[in-house]
Amino acid sequence: MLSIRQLSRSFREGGRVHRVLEDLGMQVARGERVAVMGRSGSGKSTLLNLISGIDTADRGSVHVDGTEVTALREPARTLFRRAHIGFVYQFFNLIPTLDVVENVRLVLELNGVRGASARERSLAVLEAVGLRARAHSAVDLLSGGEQQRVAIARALVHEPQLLLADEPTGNLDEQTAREVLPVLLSLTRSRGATLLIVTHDEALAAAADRVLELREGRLHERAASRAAASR
Amino acid sequence: MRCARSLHSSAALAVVLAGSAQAAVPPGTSVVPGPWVPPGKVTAPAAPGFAEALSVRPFVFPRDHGPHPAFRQEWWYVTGNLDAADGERFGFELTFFRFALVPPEVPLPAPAREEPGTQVASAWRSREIYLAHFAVTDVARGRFRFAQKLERGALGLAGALGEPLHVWIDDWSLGGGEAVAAAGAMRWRLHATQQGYAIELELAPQTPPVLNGENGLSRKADEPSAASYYYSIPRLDVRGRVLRDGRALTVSGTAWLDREWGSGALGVQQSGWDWFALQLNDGSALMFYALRRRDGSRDRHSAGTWLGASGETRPLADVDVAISVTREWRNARGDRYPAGWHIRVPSLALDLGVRPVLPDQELGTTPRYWEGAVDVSGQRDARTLGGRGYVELVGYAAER
Amino acid sequence: MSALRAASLRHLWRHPAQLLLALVGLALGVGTIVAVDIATASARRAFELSLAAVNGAATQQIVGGPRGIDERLYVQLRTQPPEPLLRLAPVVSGYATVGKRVMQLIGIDPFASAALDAGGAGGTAFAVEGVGEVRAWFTAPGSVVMSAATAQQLHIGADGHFALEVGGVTHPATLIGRIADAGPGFDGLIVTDIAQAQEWLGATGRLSRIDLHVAADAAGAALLARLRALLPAGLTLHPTRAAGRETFAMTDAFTTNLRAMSLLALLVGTLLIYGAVSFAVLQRRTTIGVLRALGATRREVLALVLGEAAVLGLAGAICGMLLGLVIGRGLVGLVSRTINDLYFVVAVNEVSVPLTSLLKALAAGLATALAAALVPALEVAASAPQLALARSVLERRAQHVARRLVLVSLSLALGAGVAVSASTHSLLAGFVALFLLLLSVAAVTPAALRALAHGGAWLVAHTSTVARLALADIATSLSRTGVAIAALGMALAAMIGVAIMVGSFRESLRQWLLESMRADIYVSAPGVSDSLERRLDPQVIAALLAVPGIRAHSEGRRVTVDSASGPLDLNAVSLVPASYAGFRFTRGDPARAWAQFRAGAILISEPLAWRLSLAPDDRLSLDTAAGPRAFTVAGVYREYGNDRGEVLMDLREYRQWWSDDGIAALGIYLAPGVSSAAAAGALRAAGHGRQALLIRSNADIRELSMRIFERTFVITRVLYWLAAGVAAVGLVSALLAWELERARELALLRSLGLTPAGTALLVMGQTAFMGVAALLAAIPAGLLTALTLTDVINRRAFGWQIGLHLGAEQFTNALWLALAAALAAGVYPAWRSARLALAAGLREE
Repeated sequence: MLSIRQLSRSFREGGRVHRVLEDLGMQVARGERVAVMGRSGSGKSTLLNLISGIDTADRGSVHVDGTEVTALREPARTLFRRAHIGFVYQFFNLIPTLDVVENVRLVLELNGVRGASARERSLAVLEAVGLRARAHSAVDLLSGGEQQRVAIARALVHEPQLLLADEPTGNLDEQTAREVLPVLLSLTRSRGATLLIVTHDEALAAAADRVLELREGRLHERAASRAAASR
Repeated sequence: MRCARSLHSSAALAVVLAGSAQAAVPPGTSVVPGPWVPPGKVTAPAAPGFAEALSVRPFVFPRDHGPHPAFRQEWWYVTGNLDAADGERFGFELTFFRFALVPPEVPLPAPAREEPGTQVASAWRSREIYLAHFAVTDVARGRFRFAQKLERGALGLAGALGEPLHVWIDDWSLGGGEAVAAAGAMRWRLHATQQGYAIELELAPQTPPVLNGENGLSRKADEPSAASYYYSIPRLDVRGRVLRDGRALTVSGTAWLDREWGSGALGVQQSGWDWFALQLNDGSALMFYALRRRDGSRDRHSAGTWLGASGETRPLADVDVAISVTREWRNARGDRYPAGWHIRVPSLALDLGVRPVLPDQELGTTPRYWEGAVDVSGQRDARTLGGRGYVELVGYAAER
Repeated sequence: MSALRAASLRHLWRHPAQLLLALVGLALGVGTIVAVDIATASARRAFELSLAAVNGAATQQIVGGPRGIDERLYVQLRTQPPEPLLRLAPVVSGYATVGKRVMQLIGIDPFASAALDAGGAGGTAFAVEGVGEVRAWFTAPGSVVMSAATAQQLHIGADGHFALEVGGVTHPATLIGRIADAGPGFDGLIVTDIAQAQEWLGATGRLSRIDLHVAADAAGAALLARLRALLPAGLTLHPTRAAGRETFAMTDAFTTNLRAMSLLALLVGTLLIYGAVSFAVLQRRTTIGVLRALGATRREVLALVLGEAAVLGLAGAICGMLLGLVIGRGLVGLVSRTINDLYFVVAVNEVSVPLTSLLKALAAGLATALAAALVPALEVAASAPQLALARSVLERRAQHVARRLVLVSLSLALGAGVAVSASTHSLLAGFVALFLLLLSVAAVTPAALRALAHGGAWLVAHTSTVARLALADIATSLSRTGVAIAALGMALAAMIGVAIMVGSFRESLRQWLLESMRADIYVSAPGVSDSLERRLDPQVIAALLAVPGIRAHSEGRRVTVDSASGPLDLNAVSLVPASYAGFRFTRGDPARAWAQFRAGAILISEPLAWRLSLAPDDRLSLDTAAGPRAFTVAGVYREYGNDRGEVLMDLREYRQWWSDDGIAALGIYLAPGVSSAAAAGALRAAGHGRQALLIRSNADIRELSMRIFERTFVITRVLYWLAAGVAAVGLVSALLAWELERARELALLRSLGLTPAGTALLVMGQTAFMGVAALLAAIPAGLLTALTLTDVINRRAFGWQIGLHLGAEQFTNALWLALAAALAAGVYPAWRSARLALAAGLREE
């Protein structure tokens, strides 16, 4: 499903070149849930940006579902992203001028789904995250957990094959995180999407099929995760 | 800020500048005002089309007191010494020049279109320009004042008429008026005004006209054209009023009239002259002009006329008269003028000292010249003799 | 405090684009004021210099009626002066055409003029050093002098020969000298001898005036009294300066209008500075909050913000001055052309930059910036020390302000109404009303935009979330863009207003021309109207009228006469029955008015009636050749040809009172079936070889009038485009700032799948919507502005009544401006958002 080979990305900061990812390789199977852990600044977000085509790599390739994302140019990259990838951010990134259902529907409309079908699908996915009743609320009136659930709904409403989550619980208290996490996991599974979570929340990592650790630009398999996988 | 001239003066100056480009004459030499030539750079021989003073002619009076339009230039020159009733003393100069712009036969430009019923040619078109100088020497107050007028000879603004004599510019005039009609005796009125002074005088000739030079033909240089017709009335009785700052003073005295006309100019080597018109108290009078050359020497064409007490006249040649300068005066600009003379005429046994009544009697016109009242004292045949007169000094001021 | 300053400077430094655009806006505003100042000052200075050159030391002048003064009066004053040392000089003046250029022709007597200047007959420095050249001046045919610069402009060759045309007749002329040290006052002046001038101008026996120098003391006053007593009837003696002032005052309404237009540009600039400063404050709310929390006093914060504004104002003023110098140079030509078209001949060859206008610019820039910054400065200083305000709070506050501004707008409009209705003649009140109205537009525009955006968002809510998002964003952006939109709305309203006014005026003029041009062909002597030389040769008239096919003809003479109310244009006409229909009375009963007119009463045009507050049956005193005489006003008629107004009088009446039998123009009425072109040809042939004539059909004259009309409004157009330019710059600046601020939101949309092209489209669509919304708000306001311009400003400035005529073309300029400004404002942000580095844009706060 997701195949990454020799991926490298470095940033120039002042006069210094900061190598964030170096010859990173990775394979994720369809439906697999993978957690990537690492310290702040280890390059976790960069990895997600490269996979989704938001950022471009210096070297190496990313294949998503057989398409080489790194070889795509704009606007093909955007079109691929909006059709095949969903995104959940640490800070929710809902659009404040739109209400709850509009935030969700926006993605469908960008994928060409309009009118009643768009409305129904949006409401259905909101139902699934338990927020159908708040469909017409202003987003800044929602709690953090609710906002993140809207974000999850938005990320999955168009049924992407791959869901990328960047610290989805990082901005939530422990209690709320515990409420949001199952929604994320079950919804991903029910829609058959592959999930790649970047986090340093151990609880979240524990829920993944596989845990990888990003250190010095490369991924390292964690023993604990292997155990979890075998289980 | 740039200083913009005004139209009124600039137009005249433009004319001046257009002229100076062509005047290839060394400075300070030919700029000669006064009785001999018009104030201007006139160095050319007489213009074609004008009559010239080439030979002796008969003089007919009173007709010849009037203008001679066939000649290019002409002047009426009156100078005199006056005594007021309270003993104050004045000198005056009032002189009129006539300059012809075109010879008599040459037509003036006329407008191209002729509209019947409308007057098309402007009355301002003129063939002549008139210039007048008026100076007053107020001895008691130590003041010398002068003024100048220029007019075109058109519209009655300025002009000259012969019989009876009337020469005028604006409200300055010589002759004319009712006084002329006084039966028999010739009388001329004289009127002029300037800041602070005015004169209202009546002149009565005491002698017949005296013809200068060769029976009135006065040669100023070797060139035949540099000659003019020249007569004087050396003694005119003057009565009238001097108005000083609006207050009238009754005056009487003696004046001198010089009349000259011609179409030529000075010789090119001449730089100026000293002119003496002295009235002596025995009834005689002496006129002499000493022409100066560029090299400082006296020109041999210098000449004069002696009028005896009994009316006999005798021409004086250059060699007859010896003049030495006894004093000098310097004006504020640094020009040096003679200011005292010793004149000897051995053939007449005449020995005179001449002294200005005021040192500064210079007219700051363009060009500048000195014309002032003088006192005379000396002797003839060992008899003491006094007198008064006028002296004109031309060519001393540096041109700038 | 220096740390505060450093922070403030660094902030400005880090937002160079915004800073630059605010500066450009202010500089354009200040520059326009300076430019108009320079243009009018240059025209005035040229006029004064020319006056000073022509008048010299003259303090007073004796003037006569249209026929001038009998030259014998001058001779009398010379030879029998009322005072011995009277300084006086005769002048004959008129106009001559050399090539295509109209020149002032002045005839003088060099002796009298030099004596007048040099102090009379006293010790003058006057020199005639070349009798030869004096001879040329007096006796060479056609001798003239002029300044070297003018000679060069006329391309006069070394031999000095050139042709000069006066009143349709060509004369050979010779330049015999160039005026030394001639200042710019001599530009466009040809000086010749008085005799020559009289002959050329056909004014033999007459003088235009007699210049006098009279001391300004008691003796001088006594002399003037004596002189006045001595003057024949019909002649007046008045101070030279007053005469000049009176002449230049003709342009007052025109220059006032220009000034008002330039103020408009500054007003727009003020709004921009306000926008820039409040935006800068808004962006730094957090910083300022921290500063306040750390102990900076309100006073210090206030000083900080105002200090920035002062720096901005100073910089803007200096740039504005420089810009003004550049624009001013361009405007000088336009202003002088309009003055030449409408008022009097003046050659403006030098640009004069009055120090006062530079100081004014400095003060305007500073005051504008400080005034604009005061509100945000007070607001931020007054707010409690808090770290940050939620964005929605700010937006809500902006919306609240927008709502309050609607009330402000209403009261401004009310104020405009009061200003108009409380005064009847005051032009100032008219302009106050106009500005209040425009400010009212500015105040209401943000609210209008908000309402439109909300309405639009509601409409598309169910069809396109992206569109709804775009519209909702606009509605909430008002805290950033409101001021710029307001400025644009105001500029657009002004633009529409002026366009409607010009269009209506054009239409009124066109109709009036159609109505009033009753004759088929008009014949006149070329030259400047109102001048002595503009007369038809009587023989030529006879020859012209002998041309077959003429049914009737009217005769006309247009002159300037003196009156107690200053010089007035008098149009003396002999009308034929067909002429009467050409007059549309605005006051007075036509039948009665015409009867009175034929009996010696006068008719006056609308502008004159307005200016002198005259109504039918009032009396107007005119200085005739026989002294002042009161004429009865029989009626008021519509006339757009002369903004000072005119007096219409029967030609016989005029001849009787002014003893002037000249005829300047003929109106030829053709018999039925005679072609206008054929008749014009025959007339031309009849006049050929005698006098150059202007023979024009009524259609030609209409076209010419319309052309002059268009030229007159070029400068107005230039000024409103400048104001519009300021507004456009402001909009670009504000939208740029706004778009930059929401880079994050755009990055999010991009990450959600909006393509680069889609993003660019979104941004452009938003800015275009803003432009269109401002336009929509400006249209009703523009109509109101047009009404104010036609019914208040034009009426008060000139007395014209103009019917409102609407046409689509009056709105096109505004539409283009709105779209162009909005799209131009959108291009850079759109381009930027399309190329957004998403990763950086999305980086968490």
